[in-house]
Amino acid sequence: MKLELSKVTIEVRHQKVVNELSLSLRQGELVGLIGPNGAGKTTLLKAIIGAKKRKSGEISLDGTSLSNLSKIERAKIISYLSQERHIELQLQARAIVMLGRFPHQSAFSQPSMDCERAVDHALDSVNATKFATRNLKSLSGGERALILLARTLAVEAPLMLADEPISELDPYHQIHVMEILKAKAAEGVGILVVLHDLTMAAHFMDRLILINHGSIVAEGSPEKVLTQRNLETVYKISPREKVFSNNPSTFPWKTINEIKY
Amino acid sequence: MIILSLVTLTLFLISLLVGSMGIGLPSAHTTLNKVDPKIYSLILQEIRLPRAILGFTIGASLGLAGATLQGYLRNPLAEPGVMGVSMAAALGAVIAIYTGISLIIPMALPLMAISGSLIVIFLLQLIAGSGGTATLILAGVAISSLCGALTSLVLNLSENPFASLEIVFWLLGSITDRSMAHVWLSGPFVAIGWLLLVASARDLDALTLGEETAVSLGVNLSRTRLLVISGTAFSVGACTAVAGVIGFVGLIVPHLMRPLVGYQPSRLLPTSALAGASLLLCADIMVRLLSFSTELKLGVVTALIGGPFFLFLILKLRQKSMT
Repeated sequence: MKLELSKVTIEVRHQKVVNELSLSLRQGELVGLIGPNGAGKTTLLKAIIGAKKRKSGEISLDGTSLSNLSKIERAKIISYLSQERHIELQLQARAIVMLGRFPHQSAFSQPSMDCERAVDHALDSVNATKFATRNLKSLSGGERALILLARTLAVEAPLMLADEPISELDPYHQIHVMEILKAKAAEGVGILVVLHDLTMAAHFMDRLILINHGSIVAEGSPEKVLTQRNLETVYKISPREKVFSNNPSTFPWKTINEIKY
Repeated sequence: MIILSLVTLTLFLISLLVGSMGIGLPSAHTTLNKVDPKIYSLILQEIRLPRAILGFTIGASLGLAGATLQGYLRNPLAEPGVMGVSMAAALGAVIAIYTGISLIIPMALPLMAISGSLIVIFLLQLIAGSGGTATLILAGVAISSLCGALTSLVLNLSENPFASLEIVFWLLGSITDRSMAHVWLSGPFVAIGWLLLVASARDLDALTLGEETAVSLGVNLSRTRLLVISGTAFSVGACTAVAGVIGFVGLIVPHLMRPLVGYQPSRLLPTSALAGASLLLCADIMVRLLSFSTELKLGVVTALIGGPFFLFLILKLRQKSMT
């Protein structure tokens, strides 16, 4: 399964938020979508899941236009982890994860064995089985994030979009979530992740797409994208290189006011 | 769920037996030959039965619509009144009384009330059809207050004191002296409304994760909105049409039932419907048992119980959030 966006333009209140942007996502790859606030990352994900209308351009799955697929068919192929935090906290964690099976269930039927298995598997792959029977309110922020991730995994879609899955998390949970995504990509899921943490992006992503003002600035391996020049022009920050046991790592270090180039 | 069904059934039967003329067990009253048994069957069929049926359907409609709206709008303060449906139906009925059409054609009152609620569906779709849930709430509140103002205007203009009195009494809400004709008239609309509301149940579950996630799971938001709005208008509109405005049931019942179903909106719907029916039947039985010189109006009783109870709920919630 391959997701392809070609020359997608999205307007919000007559302002071009995404401008003739083209990208693709294949199964098995873990791709980071990075860029400063307001670059159009979230808008782009919303357009892919059908929550935002695009002005022009084409989004297709294996060559079939998304508009030719029903909402349920699309939901089975692309899962989505949103940034939304306004959810019903009194619900049991397992019931939340079960909602991931929504596209696979028909109305008024009890969850099938298949659904129960998918939910168990999703809970297991984020190590959340032990608190699955508790309600969301009693869980920590990190545990809630894991349950919401398990909800997305329970769809068992070949492609997945995740919008800032590690913001607001402590270092342990940040790395835990990234490791889960990495493992899922190794199992063959194509994952597009919106990230702000460039160190994490460099560490875990196979490929990075850097966007600014709704257009792609750079695309490729982390080393190729996270250059000093790109960081300075797009993020308005200057990086600092550190070498840990022969692995050079880029750290965002300080803001800059003027572009030197 | 089973217990709740039994409670509702029991209350329904009690509702048939209680009234100014006591009807005991059938074996008991056949021995009392002072009153012709035919009168009993007449009272049962013509007065008590429609009253019990209306108590059940109205309570169930209010509970069901309240639970659906709270789930759809993800706002625990939502209730059928918020959408303007009750007030629009009331306005339709009030106009029927004011113009005197209801005296010439008795069925004009419920018919005009139902038209009132249908106009609201149309308006809400027109105004908030593509907006978010916040637009819908605001539009509903605006329509509701406009209808309230127009109702006051009609009262204000009414020169006939009898008509004014009738309007006020009608607005208080009651299911006294309704006939099977009222049941048959409201029945189809209520049934359609229930079907529409129940059809939205699964979407409501997905909406607990937020609108965008629901869309990503394959929910068609405009379809859900149409189901919720028109389901509420049909069921609650038809109920208001025959019984006047009965408040608080749609607000309180879902609150009470929510913890019992693990906070899952889809499971809340049938539970709230049954609990709403129980509550209204219970209130109606109370109305009959409490003897004042004039019978208390059902809408007054539900508001009298509901208001303080709702305050109590809010205080309890506040305590919880403070600890």
